[in-house]
Amino acid sequence: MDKQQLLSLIKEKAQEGTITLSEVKEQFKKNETHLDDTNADSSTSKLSYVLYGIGALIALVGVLVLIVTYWEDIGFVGRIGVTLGIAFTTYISALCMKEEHSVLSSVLLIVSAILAPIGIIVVLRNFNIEFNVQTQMWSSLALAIIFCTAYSYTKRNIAILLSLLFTGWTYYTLIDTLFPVTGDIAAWTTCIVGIAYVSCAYLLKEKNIDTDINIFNTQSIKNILYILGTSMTLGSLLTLGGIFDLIIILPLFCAFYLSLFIKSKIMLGLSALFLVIYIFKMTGIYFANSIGWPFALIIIGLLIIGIGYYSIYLSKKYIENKSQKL
Amino acid sequence: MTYKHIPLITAIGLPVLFIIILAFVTILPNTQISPEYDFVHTDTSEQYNSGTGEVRFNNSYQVVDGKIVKKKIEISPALEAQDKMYFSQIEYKEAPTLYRYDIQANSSQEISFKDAQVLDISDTKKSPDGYSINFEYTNSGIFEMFGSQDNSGYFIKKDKGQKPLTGFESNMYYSENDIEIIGWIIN
Repeated sequence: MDKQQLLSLIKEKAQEGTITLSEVKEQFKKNETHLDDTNADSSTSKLSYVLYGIGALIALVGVLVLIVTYWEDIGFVGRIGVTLGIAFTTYISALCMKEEHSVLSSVLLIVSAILAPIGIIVVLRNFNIEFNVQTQMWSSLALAIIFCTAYSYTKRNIAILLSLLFTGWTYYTLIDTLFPVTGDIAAWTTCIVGIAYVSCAYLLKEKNIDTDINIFNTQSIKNILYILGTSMTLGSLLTLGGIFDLIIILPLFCAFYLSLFIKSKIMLGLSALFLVIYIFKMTGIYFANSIGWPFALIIIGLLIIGIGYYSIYLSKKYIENKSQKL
Repeated sequence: MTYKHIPLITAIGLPVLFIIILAFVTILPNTQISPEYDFVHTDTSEQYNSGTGEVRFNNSYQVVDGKIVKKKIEISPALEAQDKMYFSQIEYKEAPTLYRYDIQANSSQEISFKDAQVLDISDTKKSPDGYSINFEYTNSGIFEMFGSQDNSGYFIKKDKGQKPLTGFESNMYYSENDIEIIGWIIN
């Protein structure tokens, strides 16, 4: 039996439900000696990624310290050099990197994305232009387009995330430019941006080249967007108050259902967390004065245990089992 | 269109739809705002702007039988003693300066008490055509992070629509109590 026949057989048995992914993985664990080389490579890669991250962080701190300490001394050209200059260089370097250096390329894109807005502020300040909502809108729109271009050229997942973050920034400033913003409009805008992030995360297609050890793989980016989107949507709805204290139950359970539909443990966990926050909020507003905090805390505690148990039950029944089937 | 398109429509369509809804909710009611009546007001910050110390007025204004009249302000000995304790110099003036706000031109002009006396004034909270003036504070929530535009100020309001009153002099425009409305000009 050759390799292709063996794989076809595994696929066939998995479709019949005879074997699951966990059972296949179990067989690999029993023969870990075959994986020694792969594990060694994986450890080296992980060390490289940690070093990339630490290096990027140190470089960013260095730039910030340089700007703060020697702001007047380094002059306009110096300020531009350490902000926009490094942002541009890291961006171009990221674009030029080959596939095997995808993590380094992603780290460089992050450095570029952090330094570029600082560079824009430096340029605007030099020409006595305020970094107000209008200038922020155009700047963030330009950066969103630049990082979208980076994605189309490199196919790095991080470029999508950065582009979406800048697009969200553009949207906030656009709303602020067009309308007289109040607290409620701010909450609704956050809710809309959150829903858009969740939708974008769902639209991201996982690529074959993704590996588990790549911290910037599609699944990681999807998870970041799910965390951002769910937190923004549910968090903003929780701040609305009034009739929405009652209506929010609907989006909360929609989030639970959606997490099962898209098989996202992170969204399930966040939905459970926001349900707990909601219970605390409602208890504080409506019940604490009537039944007293000690009794309310006992009920909240029991409810949290119930939510935790039910979340784990849902995760095991609808997410883990289904995702493990090949 | 299948359910597969729903995330794409949500990601792009929902933010666009939100802008359209906001336009209807916030801009449309404001297009219906067309107040007709001017009003008379004073600048309460005048008492702090002398540069030499506190300003005290001998008279205030009130509306009696549809006309603006002066009303003597009684200064109690206790307040007089307090003033002497806190302020090195106190300037006494006859009455606060009167201003007429031209609602069509959206501007405020100083008028004399003599000119104000001939006007027919209504001192009700709302104008005869149902408008009221309120100070609104900006509460931009998360937008403060982006250095949100400061939309605080005085607004003329009716139902859900409102229009900013931008014609006040700049020193009258910073806090809720900077202007005092005396009344609406009927004639």
